Amino acid sequence: MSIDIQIKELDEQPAMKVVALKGELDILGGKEFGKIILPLIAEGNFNLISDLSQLEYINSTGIYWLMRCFSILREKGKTFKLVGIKEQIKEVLEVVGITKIIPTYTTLKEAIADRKGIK
Amino acid sequence: MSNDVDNQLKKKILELLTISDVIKKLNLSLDLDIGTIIDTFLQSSAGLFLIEKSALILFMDMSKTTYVQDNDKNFEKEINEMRGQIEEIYLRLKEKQGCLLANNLEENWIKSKFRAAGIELLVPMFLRKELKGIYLVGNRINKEAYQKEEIDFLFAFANQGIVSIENAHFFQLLQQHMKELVVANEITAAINAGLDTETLLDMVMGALLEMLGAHAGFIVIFGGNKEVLFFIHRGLDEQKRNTILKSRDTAGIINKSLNLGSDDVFTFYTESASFAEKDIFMDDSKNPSYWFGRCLFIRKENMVGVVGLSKKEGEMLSDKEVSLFLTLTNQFVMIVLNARLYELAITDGLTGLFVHRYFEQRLKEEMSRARRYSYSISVIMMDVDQFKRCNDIFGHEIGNMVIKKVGSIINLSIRKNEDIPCRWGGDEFAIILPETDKKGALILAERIRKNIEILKFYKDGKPINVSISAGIASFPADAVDEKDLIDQADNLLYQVKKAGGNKVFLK
Repeated sequence: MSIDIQIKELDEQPAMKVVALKGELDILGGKEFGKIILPLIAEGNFNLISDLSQLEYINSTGIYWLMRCFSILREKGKTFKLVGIKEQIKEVLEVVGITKIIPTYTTLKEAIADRKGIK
Repeated sequence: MSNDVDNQLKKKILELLTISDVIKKLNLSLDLDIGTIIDTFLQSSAGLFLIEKSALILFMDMSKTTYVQDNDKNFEKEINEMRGQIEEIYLRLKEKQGCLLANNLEENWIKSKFRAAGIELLVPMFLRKELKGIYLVGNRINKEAYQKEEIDFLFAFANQGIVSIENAHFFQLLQQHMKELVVANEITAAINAGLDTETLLDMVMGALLEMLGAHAGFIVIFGGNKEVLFFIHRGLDEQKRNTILKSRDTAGIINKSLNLGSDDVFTFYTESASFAEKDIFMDDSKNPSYWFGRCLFIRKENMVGVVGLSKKEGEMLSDKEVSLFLTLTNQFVMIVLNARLYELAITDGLTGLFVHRYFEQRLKEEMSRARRYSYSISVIMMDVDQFKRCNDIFGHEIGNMVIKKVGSIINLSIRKNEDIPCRWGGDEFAIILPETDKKGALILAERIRKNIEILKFYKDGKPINVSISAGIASFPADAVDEKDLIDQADNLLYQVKKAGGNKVFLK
């Protein structure tokens, strides 16, 4: 039904941001997410971590938006990671197979520590 | 093994949920625009199968028939360039009634085109056995091939999606048709209400701009001598208006369209524009735009018009919009003809002044206004002195020339669009002067009298002197109603005649 999006800059080098999603990433939520995150990624030059610990629901459109973030960042030579995914969300992501593409972590600390792919 | 089955099951459930989710959303709001519906469809599919690029092409009468995932303009261009190859596959898809893998195509050249564009699968979208669209599915982010079950799902999903798309399309058409009916009614009512030609033309222009999504437009109508009878415009600044008017004589938009010699729709792009015209091929935000329009031949009245509308480049007209354009511009012709007919009915052929009947109608209206707003109104009754004698001596041809000249002087002397001059009959003239008292009427009458007095006519070297007599009456000073007003003025005119003519009398 609705989504809350919070973006935080991390004190890391190279540049890294965290986008925390709260609520539902569906048709409407995804559109809202895209409206905010895409221009940011297009203009910026940072690696992105998506904190999904407060995400209650995701459907295929939501997955589309995660995939899109990943593709754009990959093209820019940047990384995209998912963190804190709830069990029911994780199941959906695994069935679709996106967890094989986008790295997932239990905690933010782990995600930051893994420097693979970070230039 | 059971893990595999478990996964398959979960996937199936997810697919079903997706269909129900999306279709529920799409069918809930009838007035969702087609772009949103298609985006939803493409995004759901993409999310479910991790499709990196995809597109949808439609075979429907719409202004936009190619949609791509992510609104990627470069990919959209690529797909549009491939329309020819895609339509070649059309029949095969129709026969097969199922999906085609690009790799399995026989023609190598088409196969390589698809491969280069990243398209792996062609999914036909059927509606009532007709092929209404093709869903072009590209490669997946995990590079995996599409399994049979996945292809089957995409086929089912796409054939659900096309129903929503067509519903939205029909709803849009319905709304458009309703709008057209409303506009046609409004214009007809306005014509019947006797609104002036310029207002009517402006109404139709407004309707055209709104319905066809144009940001600027003009209609220019030329009379027999190339003189501009009407120039209605919207969304054009002074410089652009000048560019358009000048293009009658240069190799510009008006000249080019008239030279086409037909009333079919023409389209002009910026490439064909001369340097002097470049400004009209851009909208106010400097986006490139193009012009489309048609000529209007009103042969019966020796008039010709050009209607032009400007849209942003890339925004083409659908067949329905072209048809609407033709209907509405035909209205222009009707309006102008109607105005012309009315003009002919109320003007005297020789002098161009109004006829007696119109004068009476207007006097009634002006008296009513004068009473309501408590102001004066004056009437001047005039006739040419010794006119019968002039006719007898010099002939009717000279007589007509005199009448015409007197009429012209009256026309030039009055306040345009305020005073109402008429040829009362034969050699008699009358003028209604709204919001004018006796003093004001006298000034005008005297001016006319003097200008006629100094006229010089000659026949066979013999000079012809022309003069007029005039009587003035005013409301409420001299008369209580229309008849009284005319009678009073007429009486005074008679007295001028008795006094030798070439004078103006008032009470």
